Amino acid sequence: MEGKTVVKVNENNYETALISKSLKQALLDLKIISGKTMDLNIMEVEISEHKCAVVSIEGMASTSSMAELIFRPLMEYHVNGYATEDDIFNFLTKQSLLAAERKIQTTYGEVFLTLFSGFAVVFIDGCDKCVAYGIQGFDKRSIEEPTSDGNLNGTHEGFIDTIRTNISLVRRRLKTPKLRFDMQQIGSDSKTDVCIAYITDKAPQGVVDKVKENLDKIDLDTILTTGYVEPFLEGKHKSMFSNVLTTDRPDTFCAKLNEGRVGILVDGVPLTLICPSLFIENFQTIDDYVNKPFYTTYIRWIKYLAFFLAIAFPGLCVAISTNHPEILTHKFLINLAASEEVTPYSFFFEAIIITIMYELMREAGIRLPKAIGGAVSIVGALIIGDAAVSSSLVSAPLLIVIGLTATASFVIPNLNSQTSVFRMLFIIAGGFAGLFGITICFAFLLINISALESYGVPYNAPLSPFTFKAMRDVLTRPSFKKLGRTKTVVEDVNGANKI
Amino acid sequence: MSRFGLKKLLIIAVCVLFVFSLCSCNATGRYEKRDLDEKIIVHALGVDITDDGKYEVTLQMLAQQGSGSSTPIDPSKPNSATVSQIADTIPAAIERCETDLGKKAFLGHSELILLGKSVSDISPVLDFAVNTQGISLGIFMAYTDLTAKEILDIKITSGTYSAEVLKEIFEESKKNGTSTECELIRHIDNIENTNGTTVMPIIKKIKDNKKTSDEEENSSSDESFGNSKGESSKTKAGNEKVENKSGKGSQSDSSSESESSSESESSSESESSSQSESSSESEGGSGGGEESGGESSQEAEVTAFYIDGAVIVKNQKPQAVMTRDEVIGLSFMNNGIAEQTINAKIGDTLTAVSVGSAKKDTKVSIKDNKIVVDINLNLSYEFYQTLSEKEKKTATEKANEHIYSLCRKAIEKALKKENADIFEIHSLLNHNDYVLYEEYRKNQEEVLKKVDINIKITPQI
Amino acid sequence: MVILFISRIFYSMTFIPFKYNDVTCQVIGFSIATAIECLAVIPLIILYKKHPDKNICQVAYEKSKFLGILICIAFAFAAVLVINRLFRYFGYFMYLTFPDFLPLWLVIGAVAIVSFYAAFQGIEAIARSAGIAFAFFILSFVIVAAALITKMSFSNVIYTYPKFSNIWHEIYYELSRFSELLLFPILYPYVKEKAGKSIYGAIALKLIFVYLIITVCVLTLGSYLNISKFPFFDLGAYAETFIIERLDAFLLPAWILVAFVKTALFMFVAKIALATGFKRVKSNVLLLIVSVAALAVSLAAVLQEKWSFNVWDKGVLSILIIGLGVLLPIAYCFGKGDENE
Repeated sequence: MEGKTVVKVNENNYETALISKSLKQALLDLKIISGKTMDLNIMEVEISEHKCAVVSIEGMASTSSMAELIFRPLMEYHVNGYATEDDIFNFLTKQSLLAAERKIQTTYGEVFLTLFSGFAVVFIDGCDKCVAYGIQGFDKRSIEEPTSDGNLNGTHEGFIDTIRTNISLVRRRLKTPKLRFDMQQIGSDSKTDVCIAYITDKAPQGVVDKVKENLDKIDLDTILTTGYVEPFLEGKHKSMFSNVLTTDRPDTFCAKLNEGRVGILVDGVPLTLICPSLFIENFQTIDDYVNKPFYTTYIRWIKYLAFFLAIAFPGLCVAISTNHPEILTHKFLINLAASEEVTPYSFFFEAIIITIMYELMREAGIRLPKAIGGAVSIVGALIIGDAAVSSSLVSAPLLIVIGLTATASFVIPNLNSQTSVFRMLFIIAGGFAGLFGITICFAFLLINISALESYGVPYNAPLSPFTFKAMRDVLTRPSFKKLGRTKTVVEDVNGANKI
Repeated sequence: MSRFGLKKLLIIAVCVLFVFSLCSCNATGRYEKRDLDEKIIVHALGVDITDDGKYEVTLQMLAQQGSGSSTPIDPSKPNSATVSQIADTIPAAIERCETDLGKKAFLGHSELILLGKSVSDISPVLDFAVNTQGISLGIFMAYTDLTAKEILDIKITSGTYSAEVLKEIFEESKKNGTSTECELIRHIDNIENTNGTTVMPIIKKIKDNKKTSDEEENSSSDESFGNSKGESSKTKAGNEKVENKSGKGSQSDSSSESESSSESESSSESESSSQSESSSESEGGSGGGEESGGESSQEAEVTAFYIDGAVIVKNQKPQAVMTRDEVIGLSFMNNGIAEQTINAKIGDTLTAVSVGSAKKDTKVSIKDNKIVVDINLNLSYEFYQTLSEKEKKTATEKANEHIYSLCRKAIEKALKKENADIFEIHSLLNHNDYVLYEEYRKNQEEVLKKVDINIKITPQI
Repeated sequence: MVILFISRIFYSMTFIPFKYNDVTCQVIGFSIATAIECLAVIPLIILYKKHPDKNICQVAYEKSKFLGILICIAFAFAAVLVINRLFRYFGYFMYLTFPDFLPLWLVIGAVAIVSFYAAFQGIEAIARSAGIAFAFFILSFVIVAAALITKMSFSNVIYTYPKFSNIWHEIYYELSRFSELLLFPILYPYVKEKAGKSIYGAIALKLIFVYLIITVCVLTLGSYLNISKFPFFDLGAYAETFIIERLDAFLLPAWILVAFVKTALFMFVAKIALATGFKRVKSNVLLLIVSVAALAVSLAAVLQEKWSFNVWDKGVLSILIIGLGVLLPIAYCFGKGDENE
């Protein structure tokens, strides 16, 4: 049997191969499978005169805990005379508590998975099982402020890259046993931990099952960020919008879980996914629930306006000035006409140029290191702001329009990609076909959003199909006294199909 | 598979459409997209009729006077210019203006259609205004006692362009009753209802020292409304000659030449057309062609117009002129007045009383084969001086008397003399007595002759 | 599901550019026509109670295969006619109001493509878009009406004695436009509410909106209505706010949205009907065929600038509407009942 294993085990078939009884062979197998990778640490040791080996991956396991929790107890273990493999195995699994996490493993597949997760694995000569201890000690980022989703009044802890820490962040905020975490590994090579979080009596079982089913469908080698998982959760409709919400804030995450959503945590990224999510939720921030309702209501309307401005404002301006100047008030029109008189290009073309310029600046600002990022804004301000106007290349009103649009798009960072593209489409449509083109574009956008369904819930749910009860939190923001009295969950909106 | 195929097909279709639209929009032709600076933004449209019955259309348009790109419009300078052309129809004349300037006229923002006194039939103008895409229904339509060109040529500095000032003058005058309703849609409404009767206010130019004798002038110029044949043959010849010259000049020659030619044209024209007002040529706008914005060519003024009286249009033809007083009376009866100051004499002192319309009740009855329309005006009064109760009463009575006389004047002039329905009699009949209304539709003249209007004024202090 | 919305929305739209001959006749004729419509949908409701989850084509198909296919084709044909009429109307409107805007074929093609895309995405996408389009329509109408409120006056109202022939014409005109009768038998399986409620709700809403539009038009435009071709848009042209000088172009988007929803609905109906009849062909291929057919027919008419009502609209479509929308449900209501016994 041993002979067979020697021949068979290699890097392609190791996953289900059983661990060899012979320590020597087992260690050899490890080396073969890993191709003698340099970060594989093997320390052979005799415990009570029985051959054993402690295997770990360099940098993944904490050396101090290894010394403290594994080496010392092992070295101090003594049986009268020669200890059998069963003695040691029993000691390791039954008579001691060496680390917080302990796993008994029988295949090389399991061994490598635990090794690469930062476990230390103890092999015992003559035993076809080994024991893994969770003494992870790899370096990780400490908990920091969330970066993408800035808030004044929410928590200042953001998710970090390690899934366990993230789970603890969530657990700390929801101390109910109904909160469940279901972990699974996805990615044939990366074996990334992906964890589904939900509250049992709030999240509909159908949605949870559907999410799991979708995750099972993932057939990728690696999962490096949430973007790998997202398309599988979105479903079959090809839409420009995503029905999966991304957040790096534990408080938002918990709030959504509490509303009956399913959260997905992916190891290695500080971002989490929430589904089903609605279009409207892109406009809601955790700050909304801290501020007084009157202020939140006001700010929400400003945000809706911002979305409209970010998408359609330049397009509308182009459409109106080229095709329907009668809409503008007379004074505005003559001011516009007067400033257009000196510029060499048409309003339409100018709008395209400036929009492209703006996108360039924005992209440059994100990609560049922060220190140089500032320089981009200086260049932008100098070139676009001043020189373009004073050299009569662009008219000043247009600059105001684009400036306003850019600012508006910062208000809703979640929809940035959609607004950028649609802005361009609207400009082109408006330039060629005026308000007609804008409307056709808008209709397209409308269908695109409307066709999207998020786990049985229409994506643009409380708006259309209209649900009056759910509109409370869309048009206004009711106080928590009211919110507490009557709960609305996503599944209650009109047009939702229970799955 | 079919799903996928369809999607591809859709994308291809969109692309094809897009490319086609690019081609069709960029090709010069009907669907050419014009940028704002390729359009003439027309503030006002003036229509005159030349002696040989052709239309002379004057467009007042934007010609900004600014300094640099940061201040494209300098409000202290007159930012408008005019261009005019003659053709058989109004659209043709506009088209000739367009050719002259090499731009497309954009009429969507014109605020005023000004009819020169030579316009004897407003129906072609109305037809043009209604059927031209873009002209607003709220555009003002008024007559002038000069040629429309002269009025539009005046440069003023109080607003950005003179049509704007004119519009504001209209709106202000409407409040105190010196102007009647002059929106296009109201004219059309009246004309539709009454077989072509409406009232249009008259715009006049402020003259240097002759302001006192307005009324006399009015009556003397009455006859010439809509009657260009009455002018002397010498004028005709002069006009024609100059017009031809200007047409040629502006089309073929350089701008400086066209300027000089148009200058001579307008000055000579104003000379000839102003038999009754001889002093106008000094300020008469010199701008024929494109280049009339130059400051040196004339003095810009702060105000230049006022509204005085109105023209009664009957059967779509100007019929008679109402004086300022008559128009105020008419406004009291029709749509009410926001505030009109009336002077009342109490003893020896003169007090100013501000009168505004509060409510209007109307009743139609038939007495002795006469249709009697009772109009009960409720007026509110405000006094500018501290008066005792008694004095207030006398002041009110005086003011009432005055208003009554104004109303009577209007009735005498319009209904008795001209037999024109400008008192919304059609609507009153329609609302009160349908049989009479039917008769009115059939035989308007006869019915109107039978109409008597009684005015009663109830003051509310 | 939100079919109530849909029906409401296109009802409102059909009446936006109404031909004005005589207000009194119009109001009376319209009211009578609405009453007739209320009666006409009764068989449909009964049919719905019998087969709540089958559309009329499926019912017909099950009874007799040949007849079923025939009825399916008839439905699709009627839908094509309706779309054709809509496009012609739309083309006429664009031709008059925005003549130098875009080539007409492009305008109609764009609407057709968007509608096709909507129909392709299914009834739910259309319904949800319709909800928003409806909101947009109401919003623009309210803004226009509010902007006009100072310009409304009762003295603009001129009463007229209704003439019988005019009323009769109005009733006929209104009924021939009641193409929604074709939608109900196909779409009711998707209705989540009670069929009667949604149908009558839609009819009531249509009534309210038409009355509102007529009232606003009459109060503001007065006798200008007599020469106006699209009174609703002249309302917009007359309305003035301090930000927007004229609202007619502002109404254009509302109108396009509504037109697109209606087109999409009829394309969808044609698709469903044909899919019932021809089970072997993919439904989206059928949709494509219908859309292309409708587009081709309309383009042919539009490019020749033939706007007016033609024989197809007057005769064939009316017959189809009555046949498919009223007689067929009656036949199946009572005929089927016998068979069951």
